[in-house]
Amino acid sequence: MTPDSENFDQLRKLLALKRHEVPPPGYFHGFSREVIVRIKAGDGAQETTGTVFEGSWLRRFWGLFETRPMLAGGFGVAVCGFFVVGALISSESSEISGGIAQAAQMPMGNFAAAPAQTTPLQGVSDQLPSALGAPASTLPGGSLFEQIDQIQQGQRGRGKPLFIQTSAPGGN
Amino acid sequence: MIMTEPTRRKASKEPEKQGAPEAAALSQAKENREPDATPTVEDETVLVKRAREGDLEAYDDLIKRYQERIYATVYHMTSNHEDANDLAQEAFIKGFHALKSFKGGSSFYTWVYRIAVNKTINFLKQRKNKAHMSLDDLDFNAEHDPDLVALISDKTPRREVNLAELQEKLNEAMQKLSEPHRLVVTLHDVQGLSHEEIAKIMECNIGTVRSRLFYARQQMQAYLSDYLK
Repeated sequence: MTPDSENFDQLRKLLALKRHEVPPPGYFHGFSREVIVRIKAGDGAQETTGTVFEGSWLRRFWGLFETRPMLAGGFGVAVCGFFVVGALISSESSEISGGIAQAAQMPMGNFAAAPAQTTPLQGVSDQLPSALGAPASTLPGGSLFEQIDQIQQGQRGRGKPLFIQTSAPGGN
Repeated sequence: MIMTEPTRRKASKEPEKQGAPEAAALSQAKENREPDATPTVEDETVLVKRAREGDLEAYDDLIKRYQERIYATVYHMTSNHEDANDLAQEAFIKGFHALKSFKGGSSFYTWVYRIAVNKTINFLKQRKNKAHMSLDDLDFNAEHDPDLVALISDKTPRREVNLAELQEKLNEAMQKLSEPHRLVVTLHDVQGLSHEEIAKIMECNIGTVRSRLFYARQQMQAYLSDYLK
């Protein structure tokens, strides 16, 4: 026997210690049952919804992020960028659509006399007096209530009371 | 002591569920066999065939035959009980789903061993240097093993402390080896497999197994020089 093999014999004796390393008592009693349960659970999920595929896909995706933090960071930046760009685009498009709505409300002949910029609320306030019977062009500017007061005063001056029907047409 | 075949077997099966002739043959073989007898190749072939058709009871029997050896191999490779538990279970689950591709060219034992080994090596490559040891306890017989007793200093009264320290150093040294070298040492020097069996599991020739074993032992010897006389 050579000195080397003698040394390897010593090493092999030392390695024999590993054969005495055993899992906790009773560990193997439930081992196969756990495997069978996991197999059944996997099959069940596959049969019903296919979530095993989705789960494994997500798990692989997550595992990729865990092993490559740079990739996770890049993905995070990309998602943030997506939301920022989305927010910018949506704000721009709302401005454009607001402008289009104003242009649609404005009569064609009044384009030259139109103010530089009006809000949709101003358009509504302009419409309201005409619905009450007074021409919008005769009314001075101001708040909606001021305009109604002015209309009521004008009606009284001409002897015509402002009649507002509150009851149902078939009442009395 | 090498992990032995599990002796616990199912005492009875429901005959109406088995149905197939091979199932009846298996039942007959089980009745004729001694309770602790080593399973025959015929038994395994029948079990594999039934498991391939989706019979989970048959696969349960196959798991019980090899669970200890598969677990032990993975455990000695990882030095971590929890990882070994997960990997051994996953190897058997993968084995069940891949049974259709099992041609029978090698034994089921070699085939499932290969799945477990490949899974473990892939896991270790991902884990890289983040190794965390979670060692199993030593059994009672360790203190009475004459080879181990000879390695421990008789001057120290607290023998179990030395054994625990030795176990830790041994596992640390194992973890310093590359995966193929650690696997060869595990299969040959710890589990007692022959060069031929190891070559089949590792899908390489016997010469490669021998050279890897020699190199791995040299490395281990250098790491553990303080504990070897």
